[in-house]
Amino acid sequence: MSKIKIISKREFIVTVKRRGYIIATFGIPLFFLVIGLIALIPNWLSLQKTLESKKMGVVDYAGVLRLELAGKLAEEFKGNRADFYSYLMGENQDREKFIGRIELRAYSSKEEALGALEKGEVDGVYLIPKNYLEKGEVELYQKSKSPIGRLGGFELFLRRLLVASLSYKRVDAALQKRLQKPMHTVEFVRDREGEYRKTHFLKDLSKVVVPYFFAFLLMFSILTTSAYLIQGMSEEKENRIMEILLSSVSSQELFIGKIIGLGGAGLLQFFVWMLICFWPITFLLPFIPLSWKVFVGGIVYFLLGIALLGSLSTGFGALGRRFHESHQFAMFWSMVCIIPIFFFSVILDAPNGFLARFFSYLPVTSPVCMMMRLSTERVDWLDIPISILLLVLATWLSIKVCSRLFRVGVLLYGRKPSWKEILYWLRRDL
Amino acid sequence: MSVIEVIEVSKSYHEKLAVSDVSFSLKEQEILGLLGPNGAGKTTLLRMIMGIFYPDRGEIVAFGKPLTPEDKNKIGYLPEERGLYLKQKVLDVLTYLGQLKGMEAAQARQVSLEWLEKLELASRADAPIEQLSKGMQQKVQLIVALLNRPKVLILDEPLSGLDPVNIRLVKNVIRQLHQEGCSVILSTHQMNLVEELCDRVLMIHQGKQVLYGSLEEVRSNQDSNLVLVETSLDLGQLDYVQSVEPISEGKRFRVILEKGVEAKKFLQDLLSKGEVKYFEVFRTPLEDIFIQLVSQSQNDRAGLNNDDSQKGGRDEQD
Repeated sequence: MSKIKIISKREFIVTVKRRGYIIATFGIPLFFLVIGLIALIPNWLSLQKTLESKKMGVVDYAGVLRLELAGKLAEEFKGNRADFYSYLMGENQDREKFIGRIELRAYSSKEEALGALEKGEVDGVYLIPKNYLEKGEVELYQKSKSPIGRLGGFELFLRRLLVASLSYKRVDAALQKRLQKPMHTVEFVRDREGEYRKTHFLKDLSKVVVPYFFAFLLMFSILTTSAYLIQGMSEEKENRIMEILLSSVSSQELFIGKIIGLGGAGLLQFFVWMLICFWPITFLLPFIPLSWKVFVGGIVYFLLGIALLGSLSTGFGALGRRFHESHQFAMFWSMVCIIPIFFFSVILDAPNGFLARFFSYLPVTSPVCMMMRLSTERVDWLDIPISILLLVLATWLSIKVCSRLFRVGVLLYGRKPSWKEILYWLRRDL
Repeated sequence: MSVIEVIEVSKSYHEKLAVSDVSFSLKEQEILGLLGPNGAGKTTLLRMIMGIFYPDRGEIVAFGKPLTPEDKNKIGYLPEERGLYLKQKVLDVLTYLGQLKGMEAAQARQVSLEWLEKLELASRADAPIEQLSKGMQQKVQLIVALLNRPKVLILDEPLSGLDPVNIRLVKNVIRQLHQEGCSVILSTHQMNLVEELCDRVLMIHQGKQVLYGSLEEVRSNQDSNLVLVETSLDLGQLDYVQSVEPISEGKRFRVILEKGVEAKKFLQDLLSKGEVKYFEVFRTPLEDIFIQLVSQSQNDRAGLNNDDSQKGGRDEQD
């Protein structure tokens, strides 16, 4: 077995057995799940309330409503899950399909209706004043302002009922139907091939969520991995075992072995996080249209990114005397790596623009930036080999330079070298 | 045949000269004592032999060829900076470090267990290292250096922190390895250990080689030809006797012989003339030689500095 393999295997096993690692791996997603669930409970309760039958009071002083039409209209407001999906997919705009059962109660006077509202017999009261036809104004009375829009879709029901009532027997059935739903926008956007294609609600949503998701995935993975690298190295420095290790292996073997082993532990941790955190939304996966190129590209940038930033963090981190000092050195590179996140909207708007290309060609920022660009599926494909080549070269150079820094840093026990010394050791090896 | 050859090696750290033109060789089945005061450059020299540091100038030859990374597998090293993975179990650490020396995991484990048995640590094989005493940790670290049956063993202060029982145990291990053909570089401040175990010594001071040779050679160069004699003969009559000083109420004499005169010849001459009740050739302890050389070197340096400053002063006046 090569020495790099022995070192990486040991680093991986020791790290994944650490109590802190196990707690972080399973504890952090569970913590977020619990927080998420707690946050979801009121929303869920509110949604249930919205979906349950709504009892509304109506006072029609204008005498425009034809209440006999309300029953038939209420039937149209009963939908199912499939209706909900097709609405999300943009195939229809039948929003009424998931509003819930509507129950209309007519009152002859405002006082009577408000009395029913006070007693809780209705959830709200719509009052159509005498001058409605002139002004179009309708008054809404409720005990408190509803958190979910205008009383959970009842307003849509009333609007339709008014249109149906006002047009009753004045226009033919087809026109009456169109008056009910005067327009349904179908959006077309030009794609890479120059053809206009129909937009897709979830697809569009994924164009925002997926780049963000991948960029954050890489960013968190790098942050956790570099933290493990720094922790392991600081312990070895404090345990004074470096000299023993370097009497058996070269600093480069030790350096690469550590990056592979601890990088693997970081990736495993993030994979577990994904499994735990994302199963609740797996039902959405069929709606996230990603090509295999995004996944393959993602893995390549992931690995190269970890190798580059891991080596930079470890090399510079080795110059610190203690863990917190090493962590500060390493944090600099982590902060540089996430810069494209701050330019998220600019990169997404123009995935082949100057800024997107600049961050893609700059090796430290290219993994996160290219991850975003790739998932928009609008990236100029030539940029992929160019950025990968630059990233590979930078990683190679970084491993070369940083393993020197690592040697100097780990052998100068308890002493922080000056920048002058660092430059000196970079020019000639220790 | 030499297993390690250090040829005119120099190393500096950012304007500070740590080792300057040091040359020596380690012969097969030899124990070489490496001496020098603190900061003399011993650790730098050993790190260069281990390939941890690279020399600025000069060459290190191992087993007949320039030193390569693969040679690390044939050399065992006990550094002065002691360190192990404190949270991990003794046997796990030994197995891992054995693997890094090119051993298979099972073999490293087996050899580790054998050494733990020999060094009376078998019962602590599964204990975390932090639970071991300093002396026990020291022995575990020695095992790390011995795991791969090295052809060359480099020991930097191997006895520090050990009690007398363990000192004897470790000395026996060194002797045993030596008998089995292992060559050893023993860096220490314990002169008695050098006198007891080493065939040759190398002493460096302020990065420079100041003494190198067999113990006999070193002594003969440094000894002041001092002999203690108890006799009734008139010692002053011999023309190669430099001085005679009575001690022990006039029964014994401290005799200093002329340079180059062997004590053996002096004894033969005395015996041919009469009775000799006591005869002892006074050997200068290695410790005295060490102190003398260090002081001499410091004085020389101080002299040079004075000369320089005086010269500088004159230059300024000119």
